Amino acid sequence: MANKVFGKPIKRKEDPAFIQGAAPFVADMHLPGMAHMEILRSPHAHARIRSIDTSEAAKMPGVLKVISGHDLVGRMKPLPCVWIPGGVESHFPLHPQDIPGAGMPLQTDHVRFIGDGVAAVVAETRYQAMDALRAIRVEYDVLPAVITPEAALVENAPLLHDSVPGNLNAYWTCGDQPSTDAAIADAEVVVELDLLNQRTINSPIEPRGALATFDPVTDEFVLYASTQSPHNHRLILCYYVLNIPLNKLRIIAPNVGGSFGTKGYVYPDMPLVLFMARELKRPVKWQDSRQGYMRSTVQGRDHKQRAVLAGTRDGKITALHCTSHANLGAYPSTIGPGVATAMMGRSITGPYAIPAAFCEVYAAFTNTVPLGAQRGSGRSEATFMTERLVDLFAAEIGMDPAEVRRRNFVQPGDMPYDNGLGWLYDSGDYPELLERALKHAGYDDLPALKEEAKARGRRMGVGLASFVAVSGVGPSPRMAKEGMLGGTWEAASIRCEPTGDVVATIGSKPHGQSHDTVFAQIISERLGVAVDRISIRHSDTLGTPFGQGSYGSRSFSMAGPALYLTCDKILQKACLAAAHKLNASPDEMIFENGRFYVDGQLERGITLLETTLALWYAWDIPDGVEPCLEATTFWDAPDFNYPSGAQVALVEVDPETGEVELKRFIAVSDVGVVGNPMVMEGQLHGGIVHGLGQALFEQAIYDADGNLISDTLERYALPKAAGLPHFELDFVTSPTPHNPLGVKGAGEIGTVGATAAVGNAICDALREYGVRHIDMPFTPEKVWRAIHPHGG
Amino acid sequence: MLPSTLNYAAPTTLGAAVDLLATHPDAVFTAGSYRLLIDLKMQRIDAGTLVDLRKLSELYGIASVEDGAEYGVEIGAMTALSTLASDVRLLAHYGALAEAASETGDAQIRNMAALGGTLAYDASAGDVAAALLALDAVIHTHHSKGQRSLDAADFFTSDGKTALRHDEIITMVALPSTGARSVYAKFTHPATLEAIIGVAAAVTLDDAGRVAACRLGVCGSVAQAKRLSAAEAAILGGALDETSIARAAASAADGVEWLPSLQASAEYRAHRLGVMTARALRRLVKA
Repeated sequence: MANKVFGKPIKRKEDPAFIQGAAPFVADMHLPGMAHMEILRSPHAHARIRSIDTSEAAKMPGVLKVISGHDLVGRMKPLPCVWIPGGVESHFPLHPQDIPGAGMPLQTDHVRFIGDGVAAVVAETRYQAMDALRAIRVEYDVLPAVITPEAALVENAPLLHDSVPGNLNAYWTCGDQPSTDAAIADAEVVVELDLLNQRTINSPIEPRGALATFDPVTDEFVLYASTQSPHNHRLILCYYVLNIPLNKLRIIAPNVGGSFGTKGYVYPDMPLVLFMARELKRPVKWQDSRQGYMRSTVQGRDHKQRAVLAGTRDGKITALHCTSHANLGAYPSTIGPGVATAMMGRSITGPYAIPAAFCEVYAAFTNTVPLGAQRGSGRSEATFMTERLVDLFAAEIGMDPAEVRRRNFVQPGDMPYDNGLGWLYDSGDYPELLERALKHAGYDDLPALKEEAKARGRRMGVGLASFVAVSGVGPSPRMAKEGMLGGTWEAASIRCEPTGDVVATIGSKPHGQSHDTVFAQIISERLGVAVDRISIRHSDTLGTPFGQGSYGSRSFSMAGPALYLTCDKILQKACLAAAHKLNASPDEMIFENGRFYVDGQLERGITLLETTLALWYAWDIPDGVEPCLEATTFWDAPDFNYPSGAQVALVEVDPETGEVELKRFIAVSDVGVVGNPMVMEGQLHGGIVHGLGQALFEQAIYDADGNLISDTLERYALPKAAGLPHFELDFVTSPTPHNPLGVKGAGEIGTVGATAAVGNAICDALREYGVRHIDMPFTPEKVWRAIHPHGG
Repeated sequence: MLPSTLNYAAPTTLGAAVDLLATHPDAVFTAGSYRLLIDLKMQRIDAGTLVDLRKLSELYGIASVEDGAEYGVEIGAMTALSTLASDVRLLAHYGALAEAASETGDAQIRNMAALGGTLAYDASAGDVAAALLALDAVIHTHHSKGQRSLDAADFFTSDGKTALRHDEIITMVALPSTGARSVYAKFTHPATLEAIIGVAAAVTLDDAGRVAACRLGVCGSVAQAKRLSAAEAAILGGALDETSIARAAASAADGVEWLPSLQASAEYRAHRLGVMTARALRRLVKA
């Protein structure tokens, strides 16, 4: 590409509407005759339902309909799970279509977590619906709850699902166990670490909502929902849950206020509003509250890892072994089990060439909120574990942590590199990323700064994190082996309109990723049409081609190439028409700046708009060429892409209080070719903050009975901009060979290294106190207790 | 969730405001509303009528002796915390209050929150509570039976609430002129930005550098905002030096009753209160 538009930091087309509060979300929508639904959820983490009495609620003011799970029997099927642990035996709740099930939208006899639904009310107003919930009488026999996977897997533990013996969803492995065990047995140095990568609660600014309409004349539904994946969710709802033809449901995702993984799931409220809209023949809306969101939307992370790293005295890592217990929560979320296994397990070797590696995951059901993806999912848990181990290894052999990393990196010349666990790294320069980050940090001058901090009664620490983060789901045949029960290709159409406007329709949809701007930049670059004449249509299953949606940092590297290749098709057809108009051969045509001309005769040309018009009128177009100028591409990537990075955190710890101050954060990233640097930096900033939140503040806290204690933003701390330093960003560019744009995912890599960088920095700061490891979040008290194990 | 309907009134006289409370049993006063709206939404309080005090113009502003004030300064109860944080008189002579105001919430909250509102609703949890204890503040009120003035030490009650009656409006907070220098220190809750611990110290040194008067106040996740009398006794009458400061730090948490907190254990908070008390006192040694 000539790169006049693509690769430039043009301002986001999306921003004016958001900044001015003009962009509507589901919560803002009101349709004529709209009624409101509320869901009664279990107050117990684990209980048998003895009886449900909705009779009083039905008499409440404004109440239109009350249902319990019994009213859905035979009329609605369980939700399905479509990403299962690949290649291994696995057990799930049942589904009548021989697909793994994920539980009924409302339970009839057994509730398994505090967000499990038992009844639903529709009333004229939201408040009436809420009031009516309180009039529903449910008798429960409370059962013992299991909160951790270890507890769920012991013999005679309370059983969640009859079809899942011992609560074990799957035992999943990757890598070479015998050679890993042998390498560890023979190793000069072995370091071990037990850690909990704590459960977190994703907190996009918009909680979820769903609004359904039903037209009794045409039997057609419309669902407005805050979803990452409208097309997938349409397929799941129609085919697996509601038994309605695919073409009778249209899903529109209006603006979605962030997601970070949590809105890529089919939740019970979605089929319920559709069901109620059909029952009542009125629009029915459900809108979650923040607290509701925290109690019933998928949560993230939650791996209990035991890891062993082996190496030589001269700093060579020879083996890495990880045993993890993954907490899936009460039900498999739509894609949760795949996230909890492959995304973590295959990623543990990071950017290092480790001759022997093995990971095993016990994925178990517990009486907690279902687990799902959270920005950087799997890769973040793997990176935190491995990067902490690398630092412990460095300390054990008395070598600088940067030097240990240098001695073990996969080298650029080794690409493509098979990491032995299932990933084939495409491109990257991991040594350069680290050297660049160290240079920005002034790594060699840090000892003097540490002394200076110590003179002030503080302890300074520096933490490094090097990582690779598989992105761009993905190649469909490969994802099939990985347990994905569906294709993961992407689609795009482009139509050149006779007015000079260009409209592209894509299956992917944004929830903050700047599709409208960056995808217009691709088209603008290729077709020579101004960005403001290009519309990107998405988020509505009517009029857009099927696509997977946005998750796993995939849209730019999946929908982007689909658009790019569609531009090629547009130009190929336009070239034929232009050559015809100019009485020239298509072979002679040059396309530049939105205009075709005959090679060597710049004045003998025709613009793309004139060509578009010629094809539109079709009065004089070449034989065999169809009228109009539009094209569609369905694109499947040959493989994933592998963005990478190196991050450095500088912290100061107050040993008297344990307070941690993040002084500097440096991130050098390789996301391949960059489409819009400003958008990409925004993704990096958000991603880094996400990681810092987990490192410093965030933790979902359950009590022994399975109550979620941290279910409000008063009890669940999120990072705040005012408390964070300026992020120092730099970039290295290694284009991926796996798509024609050379682009890699950028949505998650900020997150993937940040927890490790901060954790390593804090442990470095506290080295003189003999502190080896602290589990996240690094709260002042936890850090203080690590320094003062016997108290003050 | 917010109640489905709320009555709202914005009286322009104190009398009318108090009358509304008398005639509406479900009424509560609101000032900046930042705390009240959260409490309503979380169903922690039940109210059917909001009596908004923002139109009571006589409750605004800061008066000093030059303005005719009886005390050192007199602060109208509706004065915003952001105003307190930047007031040059407070910064010069009542540093603990200016600092406590500037440490409350975030900028948007400080612009909305009124001194009287945070006293009434945040009570012992509010940052200004410790400062007012250290500054020996007198809280003036208006209610249906008349007016009264309460010493700060009597204002915060042991149940975590205040001595205010249902229909009582804080009108003014008076700070006596003592010549003490004062500071505020805070251990901030990462989610709410409230004080897990707030400690204010006000110290008057005599010509010989001895502590002629001192008042230390604690607020935050405590059952009651109160003076730290053991720590005060540790420094009163002697030199303010590392020895006496260490004594004060060691006894700072004596008698402090901690509320449950997910963020920090009582043991850690007791330790930290000592560290914070020492650091606050060190700031008063210097300059």
